[in-house]
Amino acid sequence: MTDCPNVQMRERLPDLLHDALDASDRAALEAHLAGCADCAAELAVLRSARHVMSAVRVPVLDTASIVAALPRPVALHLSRTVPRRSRTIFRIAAAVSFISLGGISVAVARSFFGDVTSTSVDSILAGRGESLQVVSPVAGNVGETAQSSAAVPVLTMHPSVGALDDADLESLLDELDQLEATPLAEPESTPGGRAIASAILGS
Amino acid sequence: MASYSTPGVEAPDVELIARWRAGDERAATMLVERHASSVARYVASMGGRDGEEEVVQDTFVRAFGALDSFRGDSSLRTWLFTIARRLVMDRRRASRRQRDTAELQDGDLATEYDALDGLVAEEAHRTMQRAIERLTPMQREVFTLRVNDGMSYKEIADVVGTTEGAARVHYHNALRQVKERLHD
Repeated sequence: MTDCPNVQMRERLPDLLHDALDASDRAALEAHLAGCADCAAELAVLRSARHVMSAVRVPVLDTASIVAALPRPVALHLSRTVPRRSRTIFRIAAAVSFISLGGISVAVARSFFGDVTSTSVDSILAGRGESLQVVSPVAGNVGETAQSSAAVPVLTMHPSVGALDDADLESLLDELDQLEATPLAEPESTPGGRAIASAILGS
Repeated sequence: MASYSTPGVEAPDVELIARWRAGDERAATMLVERHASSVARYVASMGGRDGEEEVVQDTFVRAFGALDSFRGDSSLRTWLFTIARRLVMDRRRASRRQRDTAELQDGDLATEYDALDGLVAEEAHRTMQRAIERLTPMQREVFTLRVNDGMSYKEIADVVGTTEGAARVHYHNALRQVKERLHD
């Protein structure tokens, strides 16, 4: 078997096997093959070799287990920014929950242990000339609100926390952020704390 | 928003990679199904019989773990083959250290080629098989990548870590030897 001197055509033979030639190159090569016994014989050799090589036994691959072992594109998900609106809604919801739970806790503490000093939330609301509305834990009827007395000057009930507009809530959030950024002082012992200890110890 | 190929038309690798990056795990499945067999066959042709499945899996794990560095300059298949080749070489070196045995012999491929029932006459098949087996490892690898996988010389050079010119020389030397041995 001799080699065809047309190297360009010979180089394209493997590509013909893989149907990787464009139409014009394929037509040119097929025309060449029709008149070139060397290239036709070489193509036959290549085809036979490909058959032998493609018959290499490979294991049945479990693609599902391969896919399961792949890393997840986690970084992309983490890098996604949370929309501004979602963050604002979350902050507002968190603030409303914080205020409501805080107010209820203070009201419960006052009704159980008597007067305590005003809280930071009280201060904020007092400074804003507003009051906090909570359901009184000692009220007889559900929905009946307990108004703070003159002896409890700060904690009062806001008619409707839900009625606060976005600007008010944002302003409140800013004030809360400042509070959160302020280092907490060591809490002083209060009569309420002693009363809890006494109640637990039974003395 | 990325535009995806129309239903019924096979999505190109780059599109599937983009979809996987966006969180579509089906795209990963499609890529694995598309390339796993050819990677496994390539690993087998290199004599990496032991733990073929593990090598194939490691290849995809490494490739997907570094997809951010894949720029698409070469095809995904070429990249996978390059990774698989390194893994086979690493395993070969580790095995050599462990057992202190000689380098993989050409004859190791002998049992990989089975009879091609019904496609080629058994004797012709064996003759071709022997001719391929007697090539040097580099010749066999380049010949396999060119003839069996249809890679260009540029792709072959990327996979085996050589130049296009050297890949072309290896291919033609391999082809010449195969022809000669078929007529011995």
